[in-house]
Amino acid sequence: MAVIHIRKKEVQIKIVYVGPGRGGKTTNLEYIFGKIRHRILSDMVSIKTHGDRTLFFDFLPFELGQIHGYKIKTQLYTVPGQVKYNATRKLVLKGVDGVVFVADSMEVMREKNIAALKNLEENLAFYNIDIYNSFPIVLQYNKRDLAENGVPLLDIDTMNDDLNSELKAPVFEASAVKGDNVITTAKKAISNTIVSLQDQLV
Amino acid sequence: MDNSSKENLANDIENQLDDFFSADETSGPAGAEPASLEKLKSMVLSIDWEITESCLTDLIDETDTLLPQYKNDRLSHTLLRMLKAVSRYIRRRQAQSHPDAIKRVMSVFASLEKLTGSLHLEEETRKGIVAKEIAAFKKLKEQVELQRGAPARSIPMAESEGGYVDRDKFEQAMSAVEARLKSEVKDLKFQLEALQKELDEMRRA
Repeated sequence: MAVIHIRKKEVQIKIVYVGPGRGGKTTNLEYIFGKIRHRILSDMVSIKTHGDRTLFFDFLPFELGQIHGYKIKTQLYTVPGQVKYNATRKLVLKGVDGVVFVADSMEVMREKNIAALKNLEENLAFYNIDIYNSFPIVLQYNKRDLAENGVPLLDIDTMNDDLNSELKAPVFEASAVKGDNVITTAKKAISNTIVSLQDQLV
Repeated sequence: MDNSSKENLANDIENQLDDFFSADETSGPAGAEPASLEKLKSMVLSIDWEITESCLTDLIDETDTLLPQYKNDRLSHTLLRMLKAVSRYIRRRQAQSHPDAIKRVMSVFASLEKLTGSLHLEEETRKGIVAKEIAAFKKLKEQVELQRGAPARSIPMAESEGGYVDRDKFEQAMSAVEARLKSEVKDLKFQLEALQKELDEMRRA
């Protein structure tokens, strides 16, 4: 959970990007980093395997400034999407305050999206977090740009039925490669996460 | 906290986030770099149309202007150096230049544009682009050597402050870049471990 220093008037929140492997989680963080790199003191840390897959996690910390007198420090993480790295995923989710679920819009990824959401539900349950009970989560339906290349995509209704029928979370159609709605998704995730912590801020 | 306070907080957060992210969409190096390549692009395109000494001199001068600006972007810097070396070779050899030399100029510039214009390009992809250009550059160098029947070291390929650097020195420099990248990755791993420890301590506190 968030680290709140009442005396220092500082709040540190942790938002994790989750979703199936090769869905675009790292690309989201890289796009955000590209947009803000000259404003932040920190760097983005990525640990990848030889095949350019996220092995452990990507980590992007930055300060947002002050809100209601509190300095807000945000940490964005990704987890490895591949099924075999569940222990790492679970570890990175420790202390999470908000989640961005990056779903892959390709038709062939339908089952993997559902499995990844189920896996998230189980991993958060391990930390006594119920994603269906006011937990700040934002859904991003990534790779919508692939339609232009004739790649068969899942329609939004199907994705909503599969992933959001119970969650009722905010949804953004996006293209992480092009940067479409990447910042909007991050903004919503940060904003929802801080609002969810509001009672601790006063 | 009552509903009105919650609304105020939500509004404040939205405003803060808008300020934080929107400022970046209009300013910073990402916006400045492509603009600075515009002049170079027009010079590259002009030699595609007509190869004159004056065009090549302008192109070389422009790479000289850009090199210090890309000092901290090693990969783009390498491409600029390569662009300058090939341009100097064409200016010196003129009609005797290898027919692929102009293609190299175009290709290196296209890669440079790709590197500086795509913010979200992964580092591995960026390195891959530069590696391909280096390989093509070496191939051209070999072809030039064959054409001239001269030993490898006689063909200038990249420049340093004092003059030309031969193949061995160029390869040494590339090895040094590679070693530096490896060392940076190692440092990052250490930083990451330290950060993780700190985070754990902060959470325990």
